[in-house]
Amino acid sequence: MLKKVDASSLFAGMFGVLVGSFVYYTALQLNHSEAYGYYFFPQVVSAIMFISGLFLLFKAFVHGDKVADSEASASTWADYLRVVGLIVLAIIYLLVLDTIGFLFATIPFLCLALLLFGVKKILPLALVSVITPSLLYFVFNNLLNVYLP
Amino acid sequence: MEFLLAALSPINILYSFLGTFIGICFGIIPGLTATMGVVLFLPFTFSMEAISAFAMLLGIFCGGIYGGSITAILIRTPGTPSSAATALDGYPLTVQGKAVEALSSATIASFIGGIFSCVTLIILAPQLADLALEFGAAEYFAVGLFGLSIVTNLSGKNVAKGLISVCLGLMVAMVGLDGLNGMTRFTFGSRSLLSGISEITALIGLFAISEVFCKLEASRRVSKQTTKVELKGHIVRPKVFFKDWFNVLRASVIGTGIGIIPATGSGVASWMSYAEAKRTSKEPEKFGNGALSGVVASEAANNAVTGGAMVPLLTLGIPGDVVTAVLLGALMIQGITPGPTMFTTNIDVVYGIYAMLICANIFMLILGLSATRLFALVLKAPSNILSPVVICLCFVGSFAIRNSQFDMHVALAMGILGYVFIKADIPLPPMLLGIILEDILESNFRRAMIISDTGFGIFFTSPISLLFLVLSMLMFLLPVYRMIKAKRVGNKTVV
Repeated sequence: MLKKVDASSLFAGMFGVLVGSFVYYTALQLNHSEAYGYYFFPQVVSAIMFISGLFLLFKAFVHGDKVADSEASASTWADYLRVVGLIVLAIIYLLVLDTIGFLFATIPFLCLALLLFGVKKILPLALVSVITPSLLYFVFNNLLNVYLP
Repeated sequence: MEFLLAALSPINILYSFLGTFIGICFGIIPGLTATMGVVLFLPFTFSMEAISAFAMLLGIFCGGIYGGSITAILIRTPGTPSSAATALDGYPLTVQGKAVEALSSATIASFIGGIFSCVTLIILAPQLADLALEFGAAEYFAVGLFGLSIVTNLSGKNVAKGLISVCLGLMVAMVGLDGLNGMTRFTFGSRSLLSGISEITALIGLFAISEVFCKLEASRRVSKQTTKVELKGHIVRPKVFFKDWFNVLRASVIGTGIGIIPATGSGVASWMSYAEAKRTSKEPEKFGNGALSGVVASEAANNAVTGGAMVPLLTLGIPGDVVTAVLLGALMIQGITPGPTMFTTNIDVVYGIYAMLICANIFMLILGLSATRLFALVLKAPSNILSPVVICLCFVGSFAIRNSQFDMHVALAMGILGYVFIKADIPLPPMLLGIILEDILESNFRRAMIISDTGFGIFFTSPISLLFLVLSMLMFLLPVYRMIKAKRVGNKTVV
């Protein structure tokens, strides 16, 4: 029978090994003419990250049985899909912000985000998604001189 | 004494009150910091008297540092980097229905920390400035490394995951133009990355946006449930608060000490104090799950930095951080040159600054305690309405830091990363620690190596540097010791 693997250590280990290797490789491309120059710290840090990643990978396979059974998430695929939905919504919001301006982008963004959070009543939906961006726009533009897009 | 009393005119007191109120408002809004408040209101002070100007600016400074704790406690969204450690225990306390207790403890701890540092500033300013003068690159590096060694305490049971997190934080802070030789690093051809990644943007993404994602994930299961708010509760009882007096005192000493050392900042002080409180606690397992001592340690330390940071500014004319650099500019605009001569030529201004710092702390206490219940009302808003508003506020806050839309993208990226890390059980605080400490560590290490004739020997020849290196080593070895101890206890139990 196959041994169970500690998924969180496996992920963290792979992340450490991959990011550590990538940053080490990128740091190798930097100018090495100066002793202990701007390449040195990234190399040391990425090496530590790589070693920590290897350690976690080793741990994930060796101690996997001890933790794998205890890990049970109450979240379903639908829950994760809603998070992905909000991320996609936020990406679209940030992409169109410059083109259509803060107010016109934020009102629909906030309205859709509220829907994702399960707010279905029209009144709070309309009030929050209109009042919040308007208030923010007024405070930042008029009182703080921070000009929103 | 007469200078102190002369400074306490009604108009100065009014400016101090106004400044503190504005500062608290800045601290509460994620992305708006004490620094930003001081910078934005500096032009308003040009036409004021020197002491009135400082009444307002110091009020914003103290209020801003304190205000960050309010949202950290209530919605796990630290308003400033220095209150990130407060969120670790403040928010769990809110969830347990102890929001008022946590807020009032944070207020009182902030007040005590702030007043302690004021008194230290008045009594010890010249002597402490002499000590700070002894700090060179090697010493700064050693202090930075000691700060980083805290990661062993912040990583929970898994130090390797903590190391990965702290390394990623260090890497994030390396992006952009190198401070010493002006070369670009890890920008991958992007002009937006030349100015690096703002630590406040990273903080907003890692702690606030990731929290919104977590709340959305859980929203179906707890859709009807709002955060439990004990508005009927009392502010913390003196007996409960002062049971922890040594923690408050230690945090105040740490905050003042860190404040005196230029370029360290309140973020380092609060983390260091938090880790120390956890390390010495009889119930370390409570930390991160709603320990009042954690909130108190973090808040007393970060507010104690305010007085400490004024020591090198007033006595040596060296600004310790961005805020004190702006205050240095404010002094010069008033025609005053900070430094040792200020104590002879402008002694009235020096005492005026002392008085206004004390005033700001008193107003912070009054405003904080009287409005505690008002702040806690934020939580009456259902989580499913509050969370989308928070994410909007996060984006606007990220933009406001540098007027950069790119920072909004970075905040979102950091939010996604933070969410993934939470899911993978990788601790986030070490990453923030890495982002804050990278500059202190790397720039001072390289400066030390440039001036050193003995290579790495420079770090071991200075007693201050050696002391901090030994302390760092002990902190790094602590998990190994704990592991061996735990195994021995386990073996004995089996036998």
